[in-house]
Amino acid sequence: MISLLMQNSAGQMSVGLAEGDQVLFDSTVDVDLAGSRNVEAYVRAAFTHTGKTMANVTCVFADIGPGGLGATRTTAAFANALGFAKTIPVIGIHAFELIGYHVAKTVQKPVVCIRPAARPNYYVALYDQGELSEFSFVDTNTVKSFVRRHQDTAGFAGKFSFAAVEGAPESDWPVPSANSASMVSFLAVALGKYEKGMRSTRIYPIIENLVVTASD
Amino acid sequence: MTKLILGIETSCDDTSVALVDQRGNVAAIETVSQYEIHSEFGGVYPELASRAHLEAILPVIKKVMTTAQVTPSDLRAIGVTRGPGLMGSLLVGLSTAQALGMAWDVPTYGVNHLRGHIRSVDLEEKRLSYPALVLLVSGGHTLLAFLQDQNSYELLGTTRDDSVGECYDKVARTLGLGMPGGPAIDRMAAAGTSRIKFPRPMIKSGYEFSFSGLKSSVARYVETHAEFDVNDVAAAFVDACLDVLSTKVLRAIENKQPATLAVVGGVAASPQVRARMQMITDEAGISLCLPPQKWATDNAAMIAMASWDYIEQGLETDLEPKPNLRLGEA
Ligand SMILES: [Zn+2]
Repeated sequence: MISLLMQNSAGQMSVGLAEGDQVLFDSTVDVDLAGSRNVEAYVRAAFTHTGKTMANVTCVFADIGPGGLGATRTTAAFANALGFAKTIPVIGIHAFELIGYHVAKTVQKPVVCIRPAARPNYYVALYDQGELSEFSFVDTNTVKSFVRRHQDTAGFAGKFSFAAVEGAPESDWPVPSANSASMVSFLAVALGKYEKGMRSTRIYPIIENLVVTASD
Repeated sequence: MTKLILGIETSCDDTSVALVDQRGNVAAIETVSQYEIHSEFGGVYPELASRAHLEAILPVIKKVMTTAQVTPSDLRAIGVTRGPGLMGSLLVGLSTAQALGMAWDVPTYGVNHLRGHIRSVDLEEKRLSYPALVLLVSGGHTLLAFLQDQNSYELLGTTRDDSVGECYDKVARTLGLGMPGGPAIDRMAAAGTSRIKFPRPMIKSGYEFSFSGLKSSVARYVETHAEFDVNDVAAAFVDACLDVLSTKVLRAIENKQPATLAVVGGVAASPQVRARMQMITDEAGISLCLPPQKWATDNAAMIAMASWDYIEQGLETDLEPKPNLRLGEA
């Protein structure tokens, strides 16, 4: 299986190409596209560096956020169209599963995943042993108490920084270890999904107003 | 088989896909409207628009290609709107087109939506003779352009604030009429008499437009006249709009000496606009071109039609969204 992997919700695009469980190309280490947001440029670079072509690709994996909505939508539309044009599966992966897995590998404990949404709100979830729980869209106070509750028992991933609370210095808040997954971590999560039989043809970004509607 | 261009249009709230040959024949077109999604917000809600495009676009492409029995090898190119329009909506069309072009090995062009509107005149039959004056009036745009020939676009003037269509919709809301506002206003206006003197913004010189002052005047009038007559207010409002539009058009006819005036865009459906433009072109002795209404509103056939120009003229373009793209740009 040749997999095309696209991660974009953290605001920086990364594209990978893998054969089975081997990463053949990783744009974050292999090429300098200098902050380019052109998906095609990344995908072309993947083919140039590996000698593979579009005809070789058998599955597309893309991160569906939550995160940068414009960026996530760009890769989702691109991935969906590739799947349609080539009749291959397109599998969407929750960004918190990617960063949760990535950080859990190092810290060896559950991981609180947080990313900012429209101010003053946040997306938050707990990643533990391959599963996400308590995924929600919450205000600043709620996310702060979530952090406090898990501060001594969990690692942290994503992006957040809170002003110092009364009497406590800012350094009192944990610092997230990473806001994106390495290509090796991405591939591991992707293959896990694939092995569990997950297949789809269309993916959609996670949007906060749809999250709110869904929980209403 | 004749080569076709696959046109994709997602600049605002319609997902439209079409297949068009070089002569402007439309092999298939499918447009999915988001009207229902946005009607409860009283306007286009950008986040929902781009989500709806993402859901609709591939099924619409599939339907068009199946209807016309077309495979990727029948495509000369893909043409996709790159602007002007809503950022999130443009992104969906552009990324989709980019991936299809890559997977099918078909060249892909980012197309100026405004050029599409202008080229819509020649869909299905050649209607425009040059030099031509084109008045584009819709919910999204108001502009007057002069075309010496098919390849030269000169923007004479555009609006500094609201488009004519937006102004119609806002006045309709002020008057308590339903959406879409244009047809409702036209109906009321036809039954009323234009006795209130609303301002004619920027009428005295140039080709630029401004409609927000007119909209505010109508709102002020309604606020201060408890027993106003809806029909008369509508009639006076339409009269003011038409005076501005026709004065600018006449000025351009005198200065530019076109052979034809074409009126395109959603507002071109207005019977009052059509009658007034007929009157001034009759007086000026030039021909009036009013393409069928199905090509007047946003559609992908016009984008495919304009894409052929990009190929023929070797126009440089890219697949980056350009929310504020102007007519003079490719
Ligand atoms: Zn338009």
